[in-house]
Amino acid sequence: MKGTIIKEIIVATGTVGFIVILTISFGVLPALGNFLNPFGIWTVPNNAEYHDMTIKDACLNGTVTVYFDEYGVPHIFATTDHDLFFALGYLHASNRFFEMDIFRRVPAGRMAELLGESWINTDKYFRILGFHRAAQEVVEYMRENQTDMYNLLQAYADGVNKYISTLSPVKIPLEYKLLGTMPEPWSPFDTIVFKYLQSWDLSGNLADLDFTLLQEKLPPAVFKELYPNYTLGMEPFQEPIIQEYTTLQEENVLVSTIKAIKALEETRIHILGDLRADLGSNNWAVNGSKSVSGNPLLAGDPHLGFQQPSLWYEVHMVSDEGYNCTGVTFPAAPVILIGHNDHIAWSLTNVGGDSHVDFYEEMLNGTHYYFNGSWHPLKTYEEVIQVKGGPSVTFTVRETIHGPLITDHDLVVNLTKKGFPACNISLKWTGTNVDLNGNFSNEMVALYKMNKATNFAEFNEGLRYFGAMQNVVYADDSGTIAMTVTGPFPIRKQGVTGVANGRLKGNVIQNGTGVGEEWAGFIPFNELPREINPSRCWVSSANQPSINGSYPYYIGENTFDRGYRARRINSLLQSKAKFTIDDFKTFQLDIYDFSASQFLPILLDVWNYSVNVQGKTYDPLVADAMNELFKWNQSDQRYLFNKSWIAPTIYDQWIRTFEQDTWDEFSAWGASGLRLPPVGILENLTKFQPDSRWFDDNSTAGTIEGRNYTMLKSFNETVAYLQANYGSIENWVWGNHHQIYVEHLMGMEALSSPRIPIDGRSGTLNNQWETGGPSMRLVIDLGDASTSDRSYLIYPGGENSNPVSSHYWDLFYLYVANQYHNVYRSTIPIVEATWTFVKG
Amino acid sequence: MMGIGEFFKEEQSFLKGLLITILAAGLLQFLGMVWTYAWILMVGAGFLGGFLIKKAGKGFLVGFLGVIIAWLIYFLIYWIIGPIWEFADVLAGLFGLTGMGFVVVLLSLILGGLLGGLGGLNGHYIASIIFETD
Repeated sequence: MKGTIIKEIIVATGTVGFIVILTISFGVLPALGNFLNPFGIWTVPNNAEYHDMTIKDACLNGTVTVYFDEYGVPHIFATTDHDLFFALGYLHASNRFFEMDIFRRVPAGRMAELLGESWINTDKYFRILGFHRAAQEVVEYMRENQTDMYNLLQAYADGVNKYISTLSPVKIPLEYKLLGTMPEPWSPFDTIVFKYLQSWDLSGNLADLDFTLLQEKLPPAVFKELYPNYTLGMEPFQEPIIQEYTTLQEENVLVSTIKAIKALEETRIHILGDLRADLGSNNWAVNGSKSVSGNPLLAGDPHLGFQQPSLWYEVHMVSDEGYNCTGVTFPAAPVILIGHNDHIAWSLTNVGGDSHVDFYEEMLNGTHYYFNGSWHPLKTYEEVIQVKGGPSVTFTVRETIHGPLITDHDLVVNLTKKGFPACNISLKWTGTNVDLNGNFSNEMVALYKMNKATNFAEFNEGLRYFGAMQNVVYADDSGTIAMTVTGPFPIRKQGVTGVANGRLKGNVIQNGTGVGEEWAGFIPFNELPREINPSRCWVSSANQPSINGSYPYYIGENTFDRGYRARRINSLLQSKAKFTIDDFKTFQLDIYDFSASQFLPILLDVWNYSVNVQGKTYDPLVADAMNELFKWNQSDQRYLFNKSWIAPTIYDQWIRTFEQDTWDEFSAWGASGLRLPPVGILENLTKFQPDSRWFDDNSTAGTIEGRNYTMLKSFNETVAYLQANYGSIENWVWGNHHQIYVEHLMGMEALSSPRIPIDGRSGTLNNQWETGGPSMRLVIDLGDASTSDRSYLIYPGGENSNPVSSHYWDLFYLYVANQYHNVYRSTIPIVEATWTFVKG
Repeated sequence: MMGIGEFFKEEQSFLKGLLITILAAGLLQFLGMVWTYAWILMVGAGFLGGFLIKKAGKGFLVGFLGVIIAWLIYFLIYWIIGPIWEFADVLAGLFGLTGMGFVVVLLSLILGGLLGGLGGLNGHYIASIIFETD
């Protein structure tokens, strides 16, 4: 008996121990008991597809019906905008809640709370930027002054929270089952704080730091030559700034500080894609005189980093209060960012300027900063970061009149502790410095108005609230086409007592004591660069310089796109008298590399001269590689980045090598890795100045080399590189090395896409790099937009974030096959499921 | 007619214990619809089966197999209503076992079996103590 009791005690203890072990998470492994039981992870596939259902909620005004079409795209029909937003909130949450959670946590500095200590540095970065503080102000302002819009955001939040309230253990999304946690409720604050992240990630924030470093490293004459003023006729106003700047005698202090900030910026997450890649976009429109149908045609494809679930959630929103809009939303925001309704269509590209953020070197004295002749107390905020599985982290954010001190981040502080001097740099960003009551103040208000606009005047009325710097293409069914460069572009003055001067740039770090460039307002909305119904009958943008030197305000220089996509679009739009919507699809998928069309003929000529005139001989592999380029140049695939060809791989590697070899002086100046001069300068030198000193090989003494030498040297290096990395020449096929890959937000390969060879290149209209590119494509004929055969859309992903849903990858596979799906409007041929929201 | 006390005192067939465990496991696990930790109750299901079994090894086995069979029934239902095997492959991929979804299913079943088995063992010993059958 005694023995039995002892055995039972041992078994009971073992049983309890086993249960305890199964309730504990070990590193990335979730608690196995919760995870592996039949009602744990295994219920996820049961929620993969849409089924008819009814959702009751007391806050609804009437009935909302949602039809899911064959692509899982919801078509929402409501009586009021309130109910429409409620239903969209529910749909966003039920399809993409984890993504929404990331979108609100990143800008609010709350990721460590969800994913642990590895996120503390990123959280600190965003806490310093203070988007959560700014969002809170906006929410309070809206509650008091923009009640209607606030109520719509609240309706959206109610819809999200309705979904969360239905989450029994069997309905929890996969990601939360993996993390062993539950979703938290949503609020209008979460939507607003996300809009800051979206704007910030598109801002191109580091340009001023780059130019400050370049000015530090490069001889003044070189800087002036290689980073020229786009805005011709500028006054020599920069000189005082540079003089101001040279008072910063301790060069190492500034350089080490800037490098620390750059490192910080590069290590934190970029929701819209890696800033080092070619973020950009295309959009264009033609009026009825240039279309076969006689209606305006519009195309838009924003180029961003790919992710799964996609950044985009496609939706068709209809209410009896004038909403009937189709397009893509960001999960987290209840408005369509790019799309069309029955009358108008629009799309966006990023303005490639560098006017969004200014940096100031501040003079501090303990708790005060010096500004305009006196000391002022620093504003301080105590921030507490909750950390999953660890102690919370408390730190202080300090602000001057310009903004938060980004150098208070650990990354810079730790440099100082290691003996590196650092200076105090604050940053001022347009996004958190607009008047809440004025223009550029709120994208939600802007897009709500734009979604419901029926003509250009109404659209423009919404656009004035748009706070991100974008080139907005517009077309409508009355025949109007337009392009507006919009956003809050600061006008600056020299010193606090200076006079507003639209030409001041703020493109290097400013003296923060009040004698540097200070902001004196924004370019008035009505004076922003825009063209409406131009005589050429088309408009286009591809992140190139916004406007020429006749424009009286500074927008940016040397940070715009290289311009090859713009040149290609414009040449295509002039290639025919009239276009069809299929032409526009073809243009979006265009893989013609305009840079190759400019550089490759010169390279081939140089080779011919070298071999046939100078009688030089080359390694057989080098000759074979060049032969591939000749074959490419003579074929109907000339300059096309076709995934089946070898030549694109060679050209791609060569042009990058040629650029680096030409600017080899940069490493001698300690400026390697910094922003190289605009490629237009290299093209100009290559075409017209073959003896330019920039082609000299810096590693050879006593001889001065020219263009031909450098082009062929780069070619030899290219072949050596390709051989070393890819082996024999038959392995150099473009598609072997250029493959689309859409990674899941949690970085898990099993939830990410396969790697698939894909046409195009960074720089072709089909601007594909491996982890990003055209994140969505829309083409539309502005005829009768209420019918279903007028607009087409595609993005590389799917509507549903459940990995075994048929709508997890369905749009991705259409995308890689260069297809679009029909955007249904008045009729939905196949209704996969119907959801009904009723009051109750 | 045999009283309940006598029923538990008597050696019952393995099959009876197994059926009781399957039934209990199936019903108790259903609480997982609303309670995340319902899986712990698998120990209880095994306990009921093991309580009837007079040999320790068989007590463990009745709990182990009973819970596995109950969970297997759930998996079969899931197989009918959703793409569970595709999902198993995705899960396996998360842990570096690409294409080996069956391993994750097997792990789940073994985990349930161990919970039931330990419950069965406990049931056997507790019954032994109560009825002093050892």
